[in-house]
Amino acid sequence: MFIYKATSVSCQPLFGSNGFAGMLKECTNKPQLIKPEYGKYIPPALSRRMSEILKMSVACAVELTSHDVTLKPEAILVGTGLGCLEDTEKFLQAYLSVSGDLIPPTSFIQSTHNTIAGQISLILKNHGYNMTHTRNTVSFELALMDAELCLMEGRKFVLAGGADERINLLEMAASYFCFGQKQLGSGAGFFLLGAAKGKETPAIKTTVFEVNENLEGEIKTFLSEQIPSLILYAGNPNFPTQFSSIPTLNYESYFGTFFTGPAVALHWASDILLNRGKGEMQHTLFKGSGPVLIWNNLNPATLGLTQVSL
Amino acid sequence: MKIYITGLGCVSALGMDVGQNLEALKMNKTGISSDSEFYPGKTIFTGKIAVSNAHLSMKSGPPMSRTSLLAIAAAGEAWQGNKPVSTLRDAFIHATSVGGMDRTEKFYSQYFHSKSGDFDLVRTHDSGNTGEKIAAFLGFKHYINTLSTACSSSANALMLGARMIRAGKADRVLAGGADPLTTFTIKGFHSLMIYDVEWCKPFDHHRNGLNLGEGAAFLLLESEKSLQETGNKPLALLTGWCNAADAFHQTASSPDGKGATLAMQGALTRSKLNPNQIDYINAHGTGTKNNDLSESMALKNIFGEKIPPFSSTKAYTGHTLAAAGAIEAVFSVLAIRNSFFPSNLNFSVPLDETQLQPVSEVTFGKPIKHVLSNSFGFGGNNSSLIFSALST
Repeated sequence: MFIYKATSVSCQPLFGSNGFAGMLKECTNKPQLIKPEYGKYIPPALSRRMSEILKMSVACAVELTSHDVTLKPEAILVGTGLGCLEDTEKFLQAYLSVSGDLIPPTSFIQSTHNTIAGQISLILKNHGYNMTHTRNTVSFELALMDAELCLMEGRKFVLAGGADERINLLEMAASYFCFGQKQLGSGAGFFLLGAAKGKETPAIKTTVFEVNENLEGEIKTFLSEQIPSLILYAGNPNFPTQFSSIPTLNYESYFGTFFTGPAVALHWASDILLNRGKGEMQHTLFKGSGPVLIWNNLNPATLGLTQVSL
Repeated sequence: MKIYITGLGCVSALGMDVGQNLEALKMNKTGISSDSEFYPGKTIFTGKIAVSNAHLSMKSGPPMSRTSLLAIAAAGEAWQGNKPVSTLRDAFIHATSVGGMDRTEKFYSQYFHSKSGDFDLVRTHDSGNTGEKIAAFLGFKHYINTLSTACSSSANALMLGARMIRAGKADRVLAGGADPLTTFTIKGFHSLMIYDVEWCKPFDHHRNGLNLGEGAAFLLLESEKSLQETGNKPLALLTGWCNAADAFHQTASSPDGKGATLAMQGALTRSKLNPNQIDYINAHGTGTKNNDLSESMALKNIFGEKIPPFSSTKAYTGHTLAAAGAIEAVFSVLAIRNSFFPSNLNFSVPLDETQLQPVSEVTFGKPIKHVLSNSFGFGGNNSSLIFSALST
């Protein structure tokens, strides 16, 4: 499948941007989200009550679909590891502080994982297949695999993305998930994917492996002889020996750590491929003509791989 | 290409396995009861499973969310007699809306009142993890996933399984879902004012909301190739499926039932059946003012005046949220194999707007070839599945 359009919200200024790939700097402090002008994308009456994860995702979806109406998505697929944490916590607080039934329902309504994909379908008035995948660190990859199925089934375009949000309580509980001492971030990455190759549309394929003794062989088969020119990774850099001379970048140090980090990394990877050899992209990290590989080993027991090539 | 169903597993307020659930349906015996466990100070009707976590638990290993415990019981029943085979690609697709909230809400209550809590309780919070525990227990290694689309979740898990088999991505799929009762969801539906203070009355003019339930169900789906390898006995076929977004409102379904209509129509098209070939419909029928009207309108859109016998089984089990699609898929297969229509309990007066009358008494001796099962969720996520007898 092919990326026709991509955008993301994170602590880097990527929303609605093109050609930014060489300009990113690592976050040395706590990652602070750089928010788009939500008012341009979401009616204020709605956005007033929306949590960050909803606003980020809806803004991305609207940004991707409002410029070219011929690229109309026939399905909406979202991956989220922890869903709508802000609203989940809000509703817990609401019913713990009020006795009886008169609790405002808004945060309950917005606490379900599929609110993201549902809200996007509402704003885009889209009646197509609408799915939410949630398997912690590989939620986005699994949504992409479903996107691929959707395109194989005859749809021309689908909208696929990944989003997760950080809340203070999550930071306190970080070591109880697989975050360790890492800096947590929030982010959303969304893509308009097409079945057919277009002009300047990077090709992607993705899979998820359970880490096992045959992993190196399975990785080799997946890459089908294509050695990447760059690896963007999360988690431990336990790469196969054949990758020892390939430049690598830990995307967590640029975006913070969250389960659907690969979604923002994919936006970065797409931009790298589309802008190779231009402007800020002269750095050796971005040379070479092979694919960019996103290596998601945030959970040591699973490996999400996404290969992007032009 | 045929999608064979070769395994069924089900735990609900009706019983701890498929056999007990079937008995209860045949005997018109509800699993709904009333108590105050999840709403201190108030007695409410729920489809509670009267088996504690201690009884469901594995003897060893870390504590699990009740979601995983219920799911392991049902998935284990459906998977019984099967094991990984090197020539078959197995997929495990779970679904939940609550995830580990049954334990997380206990932590949060402590934390909220005293600014400190047992953080170990949040280890099981993430929905994906509740599925990974089941996959690990049963030995799945090829494809493991969890879907979360509220009330249509496990119908979507079955649909994804069928689509993967059809696309050649998997040979054998164990798919379904689970949700336990939690104070979070009970308070949530009360805040929406759609929780009936009485025992729910699906499709009745005087209905006043739903009763929540808990449970889990899984079905084993196999391709023709898988069937040849495993030699498993097929029970029925999954012949139709469709998911469509209502795109009307965050929680309410559209009054004209658009999303529901699209889902049912899509499933019929997939199965290549005409509406008049459907012998029985297991409706979503939660008992809310909104769903039952929207679903009734959609039934009329598809079937006109010739609506097949239909019933909601939610007055038996309660609304089991993410588990509903799979539990009702099991009930649909049982209807086919036992030639009966489960009844729609508590019905007496039809809706003014549509005058539809569900099956109000369990009815035997009805040869059933094709069953349509609906699951319509929050966020306008609508799914319909069609199950068919083996020889039609």
